[in-house]
Order: sequence, then structure tokens, then C-alpha cells
Amino acid sequence: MLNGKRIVITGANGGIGNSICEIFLKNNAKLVLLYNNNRDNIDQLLKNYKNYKSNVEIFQVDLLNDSQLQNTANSIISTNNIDGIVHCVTLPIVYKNFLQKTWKDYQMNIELQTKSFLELVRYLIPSMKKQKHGKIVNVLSSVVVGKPISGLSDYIVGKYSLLGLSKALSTELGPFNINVNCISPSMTNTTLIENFPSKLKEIMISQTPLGRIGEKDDVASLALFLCSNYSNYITGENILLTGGQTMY
Amino acid sequence: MSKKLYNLISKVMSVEVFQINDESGPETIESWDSFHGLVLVDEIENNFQIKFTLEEIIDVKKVVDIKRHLKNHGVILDD
Repeated sequence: MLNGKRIVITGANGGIGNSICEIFLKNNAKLVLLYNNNRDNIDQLLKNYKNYKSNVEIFQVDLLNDSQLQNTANSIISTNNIDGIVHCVTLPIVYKNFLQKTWKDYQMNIELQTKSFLELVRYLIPSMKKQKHGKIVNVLSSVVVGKPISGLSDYIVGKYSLLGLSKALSTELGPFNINVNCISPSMTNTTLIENFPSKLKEIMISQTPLGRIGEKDDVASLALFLCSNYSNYITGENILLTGGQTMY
Repeated sequence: MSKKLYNLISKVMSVEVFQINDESGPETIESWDSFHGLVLVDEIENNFQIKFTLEEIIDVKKVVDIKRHLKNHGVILDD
């Protein structure tokens, strides 16, 4: 589905990011993987897909560091054009009421979710504009739809800000045939929820018509669709991936 | 058994045991939000070897409600 398309994936070592890498590799994409602290999952992926190794470029970058981000983006575009960006970074979730959080918590979330995306796109978009096509996918969360969960205000603000930017960009980039869409999964089976109370997972499952929490591959499959030519007429959307738990 | 319950609440909500009584709950303990409420449910279920229903969880507004549901599950609380 992605034959030869060169796609940048942020948060490539994370649970969802890594699943996206895997399904994109299987679909013959050329990947530019960005990670920060840890690349264990990326290394494991390369071990499992030795034959695809030449299709993968890897960059270590702290997306909160402007000069690192700029250098990385310049390196990426110096070799070839970009056909897509999948942005799926997130900070660890910390449950605290808003009075116990500081502006720094909000700022970190906004900067990692939105500012890093904005800066990355700023460097990568010109080549997409020139070639008159491009796919951008942001991985958000179902917290941006309906009643938000308490204790996650910094995370929610970060995701909402990225949702707003995504919609704004979809309008501005539409004339260049660049699609900008978001995926909003509900609770997904990743290390991010390892320390959640089991009762919370039970309740989530009981409220989900499909009777389970989401899997990483569910998100990856939708990202694949949104980066493929099968989604050419979809832009500015925030697609819920909740097993029916949240409905418009 | 009440002491055991209070110790669990104290641990999960990060409050001193002496601050906990039958009337304690989300309205009196600041850290008792929905997330920590569910952490407490996990702790109680594991420590008392019982399983609360969703209706019982939703019904809990104060410590006295937890005690009532524990008694319904056959847990003897000596006050």
C-alpha cells in the first residue's frame, strides 16, 4: 500500500509508533524513524525484518530541543523528499488533579505534542508542497472527544492543541494535495497503561461494544490507511478508534 | 479489619490514617479522584479477596459505603 513512500515517524520506539513502523515496513514504505531515549523496540524490529533494513533511516533527537530538531529535519530533507509524517509521541501519563500540576506540566505536553510537530512540519512541508502530495497523521486520544477523564488535564490540553493545529493545517495544506488527519484511540494496550488499575481496564471493556480495549495494531492499521492512496479524499478528520465506546 | 481498610485508604490516597473516618470520601480527601478511587478498589479487592460489581463501585461516596459493601461480601469489620 505504501510502495516506496518515504515516511517520517516520531515516537518510533513507543508501543503504537513501533507497531506503525512494522505495518509500514510490511507495506514497503521507506521509513525515517525518530526516537529519543531508547531504541530497543526499533532494534528488535530491524532484527525481525532484516531484509527491510535498507529501507530504514534512524535518528536520535530530542524533539523539545529546537536545534536538534532543526538539524535532524535538515538531514532528512537533504537526501530525498518526504511523502508522509506520522506523529505519535507522548509523555508518560500522570494522574493528578489540576491543582497538583504546574504550568510546566502543561507546557511540556504542549511542546512535545504541538510545538515539535509544528517545527518538524515547517521543515518538511516545502518538499511535500513541491511534489503536490503528502500525508500527515497525528495520533491523539479519545480524550479530545466528549467528557474528558479527570486527572489528565495537562495531557488533554496537549492533545487538544495538536487537534486544533491539525485542523488548521488541513485547511492550509489542502490546496497542495496534502492530507492532514488525526487518529484518536481510546485506552490502548501499551506500556503507557501498565500501571493503570485493573478495575479501570475492566470498566473500559464493559463500556466498549466490541468488548475489548484497543491494540497497537488497530491504530497502526488506520495509520496505514491514512497514509495510503485509499484515503486521498479524507482530510481534517479526527477518526475515533474506540471499539464503539465513544460515538458522535 | 477496619484498621486494614483505613491503612489501604491511607496508602492509596497518601493521607494519615487518623484523618480517615466513616464520612471520608472524595469530598473530604483531595487526592480521592476517580483514578485513585479505582486504585483503591483494586487494593481492596486484592486484600480482602472479593470482587466489587460496577454498581457497588459507582455507589461508593464515603468510607461507610465501602464498609457496607464489604459486609455484603461477607467481610467482618470490627470497628
